[in-house]
Amino acid sequence: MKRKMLALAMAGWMVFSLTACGNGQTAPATTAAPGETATEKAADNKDTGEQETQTGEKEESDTKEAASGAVSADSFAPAKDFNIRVPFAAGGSADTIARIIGQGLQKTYGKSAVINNLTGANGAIAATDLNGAKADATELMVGGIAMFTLAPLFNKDLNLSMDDYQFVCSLVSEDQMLFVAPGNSGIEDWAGLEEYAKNNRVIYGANAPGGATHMLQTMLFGEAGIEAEAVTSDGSAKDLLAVAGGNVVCAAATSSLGAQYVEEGTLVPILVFSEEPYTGYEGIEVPTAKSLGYDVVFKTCNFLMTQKDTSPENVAAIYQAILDYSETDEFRELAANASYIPDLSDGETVEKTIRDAEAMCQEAYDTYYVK
Amino acid sequence: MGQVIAAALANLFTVQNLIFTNIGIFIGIIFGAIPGMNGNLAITVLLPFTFQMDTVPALLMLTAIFFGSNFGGSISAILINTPGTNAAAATLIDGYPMCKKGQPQRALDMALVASATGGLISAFCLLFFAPQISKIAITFGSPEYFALAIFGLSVIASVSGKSLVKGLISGGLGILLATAGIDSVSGLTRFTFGNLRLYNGIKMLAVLLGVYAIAQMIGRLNRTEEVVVSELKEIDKEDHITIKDVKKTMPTMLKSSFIGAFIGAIPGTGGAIASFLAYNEAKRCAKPGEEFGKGEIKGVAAPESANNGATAATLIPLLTLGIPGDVVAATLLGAFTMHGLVVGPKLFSSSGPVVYAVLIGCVISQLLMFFQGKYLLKVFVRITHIPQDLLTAILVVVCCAGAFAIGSSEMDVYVMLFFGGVAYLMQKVDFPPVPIVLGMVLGPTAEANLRNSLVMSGGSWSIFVRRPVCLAFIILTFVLIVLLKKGDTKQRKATDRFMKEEE
Repeated sequence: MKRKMLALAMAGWMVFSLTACGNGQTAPATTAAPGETATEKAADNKDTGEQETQTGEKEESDTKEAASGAVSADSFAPAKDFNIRVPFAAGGSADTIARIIGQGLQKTYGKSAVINNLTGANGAIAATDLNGAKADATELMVGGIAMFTLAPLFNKDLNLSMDDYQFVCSLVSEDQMLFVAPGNSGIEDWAGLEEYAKNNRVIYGANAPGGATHMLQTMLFGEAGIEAEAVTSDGSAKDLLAVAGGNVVCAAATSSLGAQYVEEGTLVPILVFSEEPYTGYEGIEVPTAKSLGYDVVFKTCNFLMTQKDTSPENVAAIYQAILDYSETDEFRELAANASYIPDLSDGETVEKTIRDAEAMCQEAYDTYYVK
Repeated sequence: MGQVIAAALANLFTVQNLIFTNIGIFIGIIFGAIPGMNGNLAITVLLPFTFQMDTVPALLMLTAIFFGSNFGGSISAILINTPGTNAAAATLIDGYPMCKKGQPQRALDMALVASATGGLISAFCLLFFAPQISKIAITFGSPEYFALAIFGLSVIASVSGKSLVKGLISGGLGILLATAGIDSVSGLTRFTFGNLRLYNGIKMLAVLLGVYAIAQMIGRLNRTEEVVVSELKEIDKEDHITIKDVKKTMPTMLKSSFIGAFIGAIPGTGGAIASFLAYNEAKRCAKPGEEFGKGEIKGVAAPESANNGATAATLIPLLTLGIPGDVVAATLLGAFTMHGLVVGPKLFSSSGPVVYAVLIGCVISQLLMFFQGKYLLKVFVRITHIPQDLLTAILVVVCCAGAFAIGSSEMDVYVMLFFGGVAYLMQKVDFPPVPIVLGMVLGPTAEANLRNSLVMSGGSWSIFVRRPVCLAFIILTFVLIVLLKKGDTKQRKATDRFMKEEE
């Protein structure tokens, strides 16, 4: 009997541990007391009822506020917790940013913000999950520019269309640049790379075709008529390491990723894929690819999006809440710790950025990849 | 330097740190022990809570989870023949036979001592030699990774059981399974059949649960395990580890710990590869009378010290180069970042006191793990007392939930069940399951790096002999295979002689 009891207790304990862990890749952003869920749900249902009436009453004034560009954050009263889908693994920079933003939404609205890491298929798995949820401003997703631009070109199964979504705001955008290691290859600038390429095939580090760094370098070397081939990896940090270790000649990566290497003097940025020269590194002005005669401009961008049918007023309110939170000391501290330089442009700007990139990716695909 | 260490010690020795490290170890052991759950999951779940905590206790807790989970994985491997984590897959080869022989406590104790030894050595390597080791890691390019993967695959020779051909077929199946998903070199999809869930490939852990747990459950349905059940209940009265055991296994543990620390320090490898390599090495050095695969205590000591030897070492490329060596390190990167520690070459100079506090804390974590494990194992070993019918039912539920938890997808549950069926049929015709795991772990590394190496050399295979580290691994692979073959024959003869003498 004693044994049976023990066995049952063990079994119960194991199953309890399981249920307590819940969803594998889901990390709750806050501590919700056990047993709170049911009550909260009931309250949620009640809230939903109230919410509908509130929304109805508020609709007119909200639209006015939105039109005047001054929607207040509290014009939206969420009926349930926020679910923020992140198509990247926990611990990465996009995930960290999502958690900071989630913290802000949580503070503003008093509802938990659950970060749900749904990785895979270039964001299509997370997007499918978003599509399956109800159109509500609490159902959100962090997207990346490649999911609408490059991924559908390379994998026809991924028919994600940006027309199906509404963009809340951008979260971060960064310049991509090309790095070399003078200590290994003797190359110090673009002219040096061109010279090197006269007698050698250029081996560059990049992610697999379908990723931004692969496309940028394919376009650049294609336009420059340089014979080049990629050694692929699953992250730009590894590509930079390969440059530093002398296994590849150059690699493209974001400015922040290269910062420590540049400061140390191991790597040198030789061009930036942006409209303006980059002056973020001390004492270095990185020329644009455009100024060197190659029209390749691309910014890595992560943004917050929701379903198309979500009320634009509520989306505007959330955007305002994020803007308000970004002014707080707490946000500044979290952002500074995470070396996060926010770019909180509005949804329209995000849409325009993606459309511009879409055209360029299509051109690159047709010119260099279809062949 | 002295000042930095003094400041670090002041940061480290607080009651808060002690409590959170212990909590971390406890959570880690539990998550590691439950099939399908792992340290990464526990760290992901707890990550948001640590944002509100002070830096040192937060990082100590998360790293402690990592260490604890690697040890915890061996508990289910030994007791129920199901590895709790990928890294424990090699432990069950001898761990479960020990349990069947009525020595579950001895096997678990051995795993604990080996894990703590491996963990300590790894933590010391991290503390004292991180910059030097990272300099070696930086020289690893595609050819070296390819050679290392081939070296790892050669382990198939030692875990194939009676038939090498069947072992190779199993290994080939593992490699084939790992090709599903987006190809990391061409970016094209392979074997996805238009299913988005397959874009990320077939999940290793789902296959592992199927191959070990589910195949075993199906076996139990057939009541072929009745003998095992009766054996399991008769626990040896002398079932505990002795000083003699520790003395006997010490050289194996030390060697395996260093293998673990070395492999762990190379980004993109990890505990699973380290434990198989260490197992292989221990088997190669087997003395007469030591029967690997049939409950040899060194067969538990080697993989366990190696997989824990890889843990702290995985932090070396993360902290010194900013490269997360494996999936856990990638999650830990988020924790470091959120606490304002910018990992990379300048970390030690910019945040010395905090980093050294965490590193010294890693050493202490290993000791705490040992003491906690000592008491927890007494509870865990009682799993063997659970009636088999009940245990089987619980395990199926736990495994299904665990498989679902891998990627929040029912797809992984189907994968687990499917491979459970496949592995059951394979076992019926004597195909060993371990090479499938090896193939899945090492196949993608070998393939992608072979192709990348040939891109680097413009198609010339000579790149593999022109680079010294790469050449060394290739020579080592051949030498090991020859020695293993020789050793196998010699060991079999010696064992026969030994048995005759005993009689």
